[in-house]
Amino acid sequence: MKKFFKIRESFAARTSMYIIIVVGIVFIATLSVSFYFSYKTVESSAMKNAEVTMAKTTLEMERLLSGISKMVDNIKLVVEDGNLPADTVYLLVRQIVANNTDIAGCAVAFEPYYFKDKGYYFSPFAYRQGDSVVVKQLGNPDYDYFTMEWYQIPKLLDKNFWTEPYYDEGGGESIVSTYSTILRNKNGEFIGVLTADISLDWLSTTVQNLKPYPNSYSFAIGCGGTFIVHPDKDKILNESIFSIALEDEDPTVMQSLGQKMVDGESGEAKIVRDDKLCYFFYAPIEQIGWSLAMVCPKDDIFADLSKMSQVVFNVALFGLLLILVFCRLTMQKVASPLKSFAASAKKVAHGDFNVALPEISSKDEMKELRDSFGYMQKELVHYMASLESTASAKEKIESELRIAHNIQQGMIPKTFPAFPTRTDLDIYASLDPAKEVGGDLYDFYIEGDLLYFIIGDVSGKGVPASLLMAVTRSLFRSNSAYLKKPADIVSSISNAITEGNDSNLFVTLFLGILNLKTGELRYCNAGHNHPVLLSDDTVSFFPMKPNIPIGLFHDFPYEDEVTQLANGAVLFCYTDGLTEAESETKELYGDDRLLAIMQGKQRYSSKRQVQVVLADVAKHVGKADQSDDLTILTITSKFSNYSEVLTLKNEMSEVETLKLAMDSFFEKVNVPPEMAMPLQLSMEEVIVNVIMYAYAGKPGTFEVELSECASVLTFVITDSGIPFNPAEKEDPDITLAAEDRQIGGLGVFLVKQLMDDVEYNRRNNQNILTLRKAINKK
Amino acid sequence: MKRLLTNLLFVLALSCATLSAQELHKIIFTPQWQTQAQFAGYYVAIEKGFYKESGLDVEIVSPGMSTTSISRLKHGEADVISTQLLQAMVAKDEGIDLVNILQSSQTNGLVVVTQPGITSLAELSGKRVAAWTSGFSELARCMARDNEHNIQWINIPSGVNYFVSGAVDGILTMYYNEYFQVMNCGRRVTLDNTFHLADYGYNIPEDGLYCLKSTYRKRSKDMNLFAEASRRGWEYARAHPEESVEIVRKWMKKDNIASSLSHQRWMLEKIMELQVNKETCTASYTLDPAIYKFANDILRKNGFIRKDIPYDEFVAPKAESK
Repeated sequence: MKKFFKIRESFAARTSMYIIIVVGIVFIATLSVSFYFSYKTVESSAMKNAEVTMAKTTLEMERLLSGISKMVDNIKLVVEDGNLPADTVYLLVRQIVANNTDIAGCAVAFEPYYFKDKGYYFSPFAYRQGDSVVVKQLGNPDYDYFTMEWYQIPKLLDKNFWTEPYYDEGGGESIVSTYSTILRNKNGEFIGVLTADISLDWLSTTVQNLKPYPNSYSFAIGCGGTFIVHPDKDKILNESIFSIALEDEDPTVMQSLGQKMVDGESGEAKIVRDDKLCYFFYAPIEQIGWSLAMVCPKDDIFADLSKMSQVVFNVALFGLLLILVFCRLTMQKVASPLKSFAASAKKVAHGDFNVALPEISSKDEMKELRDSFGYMQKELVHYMASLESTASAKEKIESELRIAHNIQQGMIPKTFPAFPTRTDLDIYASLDPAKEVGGDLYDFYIEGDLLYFIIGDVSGKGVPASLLMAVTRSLFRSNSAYLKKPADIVSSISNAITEGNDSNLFVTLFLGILNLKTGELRYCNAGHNHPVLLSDDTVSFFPMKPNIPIGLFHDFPYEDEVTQLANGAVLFCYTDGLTEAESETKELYGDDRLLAIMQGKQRYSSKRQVQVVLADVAKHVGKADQSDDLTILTITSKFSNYSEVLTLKNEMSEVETLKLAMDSFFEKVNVPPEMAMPLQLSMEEVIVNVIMYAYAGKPGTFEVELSECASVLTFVITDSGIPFNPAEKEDPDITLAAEDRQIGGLGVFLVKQLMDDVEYNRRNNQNILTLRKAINKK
Repeated sequence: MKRLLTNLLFVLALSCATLSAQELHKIIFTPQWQTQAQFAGYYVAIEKGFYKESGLDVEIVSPGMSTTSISRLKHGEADVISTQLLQAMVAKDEGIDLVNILQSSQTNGLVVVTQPGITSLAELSGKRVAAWTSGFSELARCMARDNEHNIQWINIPSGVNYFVSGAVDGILTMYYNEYFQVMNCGRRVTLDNTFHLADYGYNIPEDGLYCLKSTYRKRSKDMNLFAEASRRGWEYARAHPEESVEIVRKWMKKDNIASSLSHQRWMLEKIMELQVNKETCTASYTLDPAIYKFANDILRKNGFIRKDIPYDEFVAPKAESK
């Protein structure tokens, strides 16, 4: 049952609810309109009916009453006849009563002494008593008829007159009204009245029967508003419409209606009686001045309508329910496949592509959905299969690429320092492909006193470039074995590549042969970007002919170039992956930045130079992707240098030994005296550290190498003690006051300040600390 | 059995004791008209047991259509009656030796009501005004005479139909009775058409309780107790008007008289008003000597009484001393 009310979750429930709401609104609107019109119709027909009924009744009464008054008026002629004997009057009145069943009593009352012999009072009166008619004298001292309403009022008004109803003296229950017609003598003077008493029982009965509805009632009032007919007997002749109005919460309602009735108007009104709304119809009984009213409770008038409305409403409600159920069931039936679709979709999502779909028997949109769904299912299976094979193929390629990467890396010299024992050369290189494999290459080897080196860049990136890179490198190695001129080597490689170069790939190349003893450099450039030359602490671009990259033209006339490098000069070679490194804003690193960063770096070791430049490039590039392979090959030629090596024990006494050695060294290499002190201090600091801590108290030795080349002093301290890299120690905050600073750390700081470069390496379980200082020669 | 006997004896003894303790003195009281709220105080006094508490067994007998309360007093058919001051004085003058033991009315209740259009008594000159033949209209006639309003008095037995039919231009009513009917008969009468005799210098009080002097001599204690208890009844009615109207209607029903609730309410309300002296604003239930003299003089002047009736001969001694 709870599920029945989960409207939001069920398509069938929700839709059928909407339908019900719309249908319901339509029902309500239709029923309301029809009810309204029915209501109005019933109301107007009830009013019309009441009007007609009242009119009929009042007409009947008027007819009766006027009939009697006419008859009485006709009789009076007889009485007015001056020759009528007094006793005949008795007969007359008896006759009138006897011959008219409507008349309960008849009297003729004369002015005093009209019949002189009859005396002051003379009023023969006949009345019905059972089956017979009794005649008597009305007037006597106890009954002074001259003041009676039926006598005096017509006399005063000088008009024939119907009295207000009153209780018959004989019995208490019967209400009577008297019609008095004026008797005149031949002079037109008032001589008396002829009266007829009419029992109003028939009025009472007629009015009581005026009951068009089960709970309606009628009443009649006299000229002063007094009830003359009323369902409540106690009110008759006792209360008036005005006196009972005073008992109401708002007396003005009945008072104004009573006034209208007394004024002889007819009409209808809506009043509240006993907390029920009633329709009040009233009409006058003309000529006589009485009025008739009918009170019909609204509920009675609209009883049938109410009943009908109730039935219609119930039927509508039932119908609505039926529609709800029918809609719900139908829609559920139609939408049930959707549920299974949902379930199937879930299964498919979990990998079961072959799940069965619900069968649809209809030929409508549901069938379409099912067919599409089935089609999708099949396609999914195919797609998943192809995805799988693609994925495995990709994996295969990736693993092959990884292997290729390793092979490529294996092709280039990666061990540094490449020639640790040589003091006339400092060489370092780095190759960073953009993808797994790249098109950049560098290579070098030493044969005798000659350093053969090459740096190049294959057009493109990735596997194609890497293949050509491998070929180029192999050709370099093989061809440089027998061709001794750079141009020859370059040409041979170029020709070899140009052949069969369908892809039109090319390689930029810079090939050089450096005489390590003399510093003479022979070189050939093939479209490569010019290296940076650091010489005598100045930075410039190495001058060379551009030529064209190899692989484009057969037998291009490459030519050698020769130059003499200064002692300690640095040839910083690189590929365009360096200068064209893009930042996040697509800004290229550029030549200017390169020159800038290389300022003052001649005194650095090759490794340091590369590190510094790469760091600067990295800073420039930021989070951007590496756009091209980045290769650096830096060569420092130290053909003329001087070095000494000391082996010291880790004893404090050795400090003095070193000091002396350094003094003599400084002299040999012409170190300005003002520089000697800081250099001594630095060295002292370092070796004291080593002496005290390197071997943790155990005896040990360490080496100190002092060398100079092209005004750059290099001190290398090598120990086999515990790993310690002073370069990585944080600089202490020297701005703090002495009390606030941490103890220690100042020595290393001093060294860093005094020396141009502090480089630490760990190799073969040895701490190798290299200090460099450029000296300004005198 | 023994238990039953002792209970019986106990009951007997008790009833004897009760009987002997309460010796109720019988009084027959006749108001001047049929049962209605005009005499509410008395019906209330019976209903609430005020008379019983004073040791009185009171029976109220209405005068009926043929007799007056005064005639019943005269013929010994009633011990105490209620009647109007002027009627009592006329009766005294005629030889019925009665005394006043309670003066409930302090203000005159006669009102002349005219048809719409007539807004002053002067306009009634030459016009017809209905007045009852059964008495109590002398004051109005005196007033008309004194002011030379040339009113044509039309004698009528009772009721307001003369007014309703338009046969008369005005009608004399009692403020607490016919006035209500006249104002509620659809003739569009307003207060501009009403003229209280009290406002025109004829403020003679009306209803009071009377007994024969001889009765008073013999049973002054009872008479005073009756007056006292009746006063209590009136005061209760003043405090509980709705309840009192209910009591009156109950009694009316017993006498087979149909009653209109609104009419009886009005009647009680106005009777209560008329029991309050307009100057002192109190209901004293005693006859003011000055006012009595005024009444005496009017009657003398208009020949209704032959000679003056001294106050102390008219008002019972005990009642006077209040």
